Amino acid sequence: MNYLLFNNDILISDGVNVRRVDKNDKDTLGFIDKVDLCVVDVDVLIAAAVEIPIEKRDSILVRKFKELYQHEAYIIQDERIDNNLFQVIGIKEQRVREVYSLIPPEKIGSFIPYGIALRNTLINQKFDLDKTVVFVDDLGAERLLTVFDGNKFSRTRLIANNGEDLMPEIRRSQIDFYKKNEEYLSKKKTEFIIVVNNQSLAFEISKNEEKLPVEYLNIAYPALEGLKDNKTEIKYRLPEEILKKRKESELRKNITTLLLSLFMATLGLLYFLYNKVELDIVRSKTDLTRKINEQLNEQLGLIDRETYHEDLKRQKRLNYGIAYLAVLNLIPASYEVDSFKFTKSDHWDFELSLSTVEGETFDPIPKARILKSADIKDIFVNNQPGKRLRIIL
Amino acid sequence: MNRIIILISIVVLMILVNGGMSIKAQVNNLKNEDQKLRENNFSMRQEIREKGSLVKREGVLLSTEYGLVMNQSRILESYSGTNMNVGLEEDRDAEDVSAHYIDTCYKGVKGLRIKIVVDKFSKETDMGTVLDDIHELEKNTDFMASEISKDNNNLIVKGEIYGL
Repeated sequence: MNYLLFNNDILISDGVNVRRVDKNDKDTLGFIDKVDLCVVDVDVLIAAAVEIPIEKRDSILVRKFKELYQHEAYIIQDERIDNNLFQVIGIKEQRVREVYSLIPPEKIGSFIPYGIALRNTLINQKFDLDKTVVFVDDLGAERLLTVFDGNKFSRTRLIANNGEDLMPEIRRSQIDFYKKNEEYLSKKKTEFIIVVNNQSLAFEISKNEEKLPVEYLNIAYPALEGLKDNKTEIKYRLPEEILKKRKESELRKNITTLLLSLFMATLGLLYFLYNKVELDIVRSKTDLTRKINEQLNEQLGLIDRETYHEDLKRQKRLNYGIAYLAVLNLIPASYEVDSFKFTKSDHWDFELSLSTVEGETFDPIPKARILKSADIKDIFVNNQPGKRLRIIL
Repeated sequence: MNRIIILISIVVLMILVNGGMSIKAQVNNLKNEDQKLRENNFSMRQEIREKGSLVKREGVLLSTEYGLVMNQSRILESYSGTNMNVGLEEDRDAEDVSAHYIDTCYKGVKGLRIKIVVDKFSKETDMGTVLDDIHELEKNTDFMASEISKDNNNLIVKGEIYGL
């Protein structure tokens, strides 16, 4: 993987060595491997907007950015830095086209602003970005001045290295940043620290004022370093590529929707058809059973009409008179029959109530012959002691 | 647009599932009906098999059988000297007896519920003889008693006459 810093010329790092390449050196750039790159020339705007819907948020951010930078076409990306607060970072379309004309799009991994690459390094190096930090990136012929406050960063200013004191430029950058973002800054103080990646330059700056907080960062190319550990989703693309991606994404979404709809409809249809087929099968089975039932019913009706005499005869085996007299013969003369009842269920039930003849003794009833299994109870009938017999015939 | 398509497919899915569920309910009802019919068929087959061994005879019209029972009861009355009061169980003074025909356990065979009240016994006749007469009535006709009771001085016989 290679790391590129796009400025007036290009810095290329293979992860270890860094070299400077002219933009016209197409041989080097054309045969380069996969790259992560950052561009110095960006414009930044902090703007408030709704978070959802995304379309509305994008529309607000683009409108606000264009109000400020309306003279040229920009490609805009944004990052959320707080609730309803976004950092809109625009790169001139011309610049993006230039990058893509030098390096084939398929070789570009990440394409981010210089400020984000540098911020990655500052965070990795545990710099406290809660304080305002003015970073001086010494690239030799020029110095890059960027102001950081939390996730927010300023437009990077290029100062030619002509041996003049940098302090006034540092102050200008800090004041300019403070003025532009005053309403979004958490602290109202104008204090800041200066971080420089050149030790002698840091020393020189620190001589300007007593107790001026100047820190030295021992990384020659901090932005290239920050590209190695890039977690942002920001990637600048050409408008036509964005359009193409958007169309592809919409197509994918449409196909997914169509497939999902088809799946749901098919699922419902399968459930419906399965039950319909089962209904037809069960219906034909039941129709057959019903037909057999009707035939059997008819057959049974025919046989019933011809055999009911015989069946009735089979059931008329009990001669009530003989049964009655057989019981009566076993009952002592001291009793007289008060009432009786023959009831038919699947057998005949014979119940008999007896009362003692007045003045006679209350004799026991022998459990013999037809009364062998009789149920005999003592009762009172018309104020006379009596017996109730129950026999199953 | 995609949302509308999804919404439409959800509605279609719901309609189809709903339709499927209502068909499923019909399937279950038919299965239950089929099961009951099969059980009924099984018991009918068994009944046909059992009745197949019985002697077959031409059936008699219920009105004819009713007349036979009435005549038989008169004959028995004249023999034993008792008074058999025969009438329908529900409506003793019915003008049209055929309106009281009922279904019986025999398919295609009708029934008529009657009640015989014996309230006058001759001095010579004992209860055994009267009960024997009832059995005689059963033997000579397609009448079958289901309940015979005697309370105070009345002997009440409830039963059914069978015929086509």
